Amino acid sequence: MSAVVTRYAWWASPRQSAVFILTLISFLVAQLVAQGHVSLGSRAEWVWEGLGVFAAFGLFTASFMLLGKGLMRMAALARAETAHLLPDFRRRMRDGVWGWAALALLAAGLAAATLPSGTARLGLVFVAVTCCVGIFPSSLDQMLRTVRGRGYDRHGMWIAIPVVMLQYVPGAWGITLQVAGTVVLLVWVFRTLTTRPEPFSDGFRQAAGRVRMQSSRVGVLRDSFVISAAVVLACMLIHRGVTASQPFLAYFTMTSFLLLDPRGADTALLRLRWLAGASRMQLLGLGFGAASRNGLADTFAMGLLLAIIASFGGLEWREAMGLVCQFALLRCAFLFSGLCWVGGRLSYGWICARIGFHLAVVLALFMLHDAWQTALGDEYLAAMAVAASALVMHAAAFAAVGVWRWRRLEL
Amino acid sequence: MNTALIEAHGLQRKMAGKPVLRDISLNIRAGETLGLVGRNGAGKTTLLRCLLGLAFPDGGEARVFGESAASMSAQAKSRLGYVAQGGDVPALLSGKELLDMMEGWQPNWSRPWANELVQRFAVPLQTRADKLSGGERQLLALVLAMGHRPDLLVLDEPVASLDPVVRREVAATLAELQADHDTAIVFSTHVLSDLERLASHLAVLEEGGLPFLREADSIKQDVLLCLIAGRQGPVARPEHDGILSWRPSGMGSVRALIDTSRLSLDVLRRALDADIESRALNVEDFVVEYLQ
Repeated sequence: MSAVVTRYAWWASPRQSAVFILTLISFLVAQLVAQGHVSLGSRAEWVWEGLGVFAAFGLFTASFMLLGKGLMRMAALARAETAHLLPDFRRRMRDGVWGWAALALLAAGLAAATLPSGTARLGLVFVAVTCCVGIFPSSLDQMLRTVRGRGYDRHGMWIAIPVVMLQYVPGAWGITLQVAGTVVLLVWVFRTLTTRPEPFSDGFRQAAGRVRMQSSRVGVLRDSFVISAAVVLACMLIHRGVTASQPFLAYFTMTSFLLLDPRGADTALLRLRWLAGASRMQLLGLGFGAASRNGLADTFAMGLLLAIIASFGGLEWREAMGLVCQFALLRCAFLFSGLCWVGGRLSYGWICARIGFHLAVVLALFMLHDAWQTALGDEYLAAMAVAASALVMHAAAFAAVGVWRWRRLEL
Repeated sequence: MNTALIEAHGLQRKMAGKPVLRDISLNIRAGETLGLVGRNGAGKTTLLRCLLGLAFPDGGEARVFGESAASMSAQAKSRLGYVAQGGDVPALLSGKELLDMMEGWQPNWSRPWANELVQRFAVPLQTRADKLSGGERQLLALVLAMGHRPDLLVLDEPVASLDPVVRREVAATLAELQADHDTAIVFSTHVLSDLERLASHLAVLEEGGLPFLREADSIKQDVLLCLIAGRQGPVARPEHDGILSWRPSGMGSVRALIDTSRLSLDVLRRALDADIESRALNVEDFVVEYLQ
């Protein structure tokens, strides 16, 4: 076992591996309970069901942390010139990529086996896209650029787009095609990693500058529009209804993305793939995520795209424009609250706090949405009211944290 | 027979159409230490990278342990240690994680020796490499390069960010490694005191060429700094390979580096009809004079 881990999972951080294993155990226990293999009484069946879904999302998050961090570590190693002089470096990288892919497929497989089919499919797509242009684009780009000895490479994106679209193919064919698409993506990554015309190009350091430039907003917007267009096309071709778990999934995956990738602006717009058939709550969830990390222009552009895409799902223009305004408002609130945030940094404590905070917020929003809809009798007004409430909640919470930190600094 | 551990034959390299390396040939044997000096942009890093197969030459060939540098076997790589300029250590991994990784990846890795190096250099192991200071990262890179007691150590400005105390410790450790294991060392540096302390051979890289490569001891023995004043007025530089450098020094006189093993001062004095004052140089003074 130890030899297998050493060979195929050398990229895994011990701490994240421990979190992953614990989450996996929780997930399996929750599934056993949810499926009736372990009886804990039927008094609060929905609680266990909910916990099962929560554990599944936990597993997703832990997988993505482990896989994402692993990818970054592999990329860091590939970037280091000295590493290329280690014995069997390419073989070890290749083994590492295989191990990484196997774990990614395992996580996706678990999801496929236990979660509703729509979610499972999304999970597979998630892993596949993560593999290519997902949550760690700059790391992957740099790794591939290093190994290929070339500049920025976006071929993966063109492979990823059809895989993204495959999630809209229903039934067993959909899953089969997604698995095939995922394999194609992995093969592409593998081939890229094993092709080494020259380990480091002449303008290695200049190339780093080029990557930064191409990862800038303009590049992301351009690519995002392309991906969005693909999603819109898919949406038009096969429109699928909203499953009950999708709002949660959208929110949590979004949150995971944002927590794992502080440079959310690089990827925020790539997340539009969920939006075909998205519910208003999903859109709000995405909006919160986007607003918490991205610039005002990004957020506004994202809102606009959301509205356009959602209009294919039956959203009226009035509602769509309202959505755009909500996004801009949310971003303003975050900008304001961000001013109160002094010296924040990404740590495990901070990640847990954010997950807890967002969980509380999304649950409160669901409750608020129901309450507002009952009170106002209009779904659109209810959504607006929820957005306003969320704005106040976020601003208040961040202001409180900001003041607390400010006072600590003063001391 | 003491064969070359690293050798280059006619290495040429162009970058953006401009020659960076011009016809470089050298070889280093076990127990030798080659100090590589040159002005900024002279091509030192490019040469070292070509020697190790990290950059491909446009002409010529580099061989390491008798194998082509471009396709070194795992066995050859396990005998090699390399510190890139600025201490290029994989980011996101802590020193401890990197040492653990090296233990699994380097067949000759010696944990006790690596731990001793960590102690000597006071390397923080718990901090991620990208969070270390420049000097700490360089020290960690040295530990990673030396932990398997390599037969060949290639160091690109290994002590550039180090304080004088730890620099001396590093020099002593390199000398110890060389004495115990006959390690060959190739290093580039701008710290000339290191040359004096470590280098058995000195190479000066100038505009991509290698006009000067010889044993450090022979510099002290054979090379003299001469102040030449023509009796009949200014003197012109004669064509002779014993004249290593020649530059006007004001008042019609000339400062020249003369290799007396090839050209005696008496011969030069007669040929130029000039007064010549001379003095011996240490390696540091020689490099400064040569590069000016």
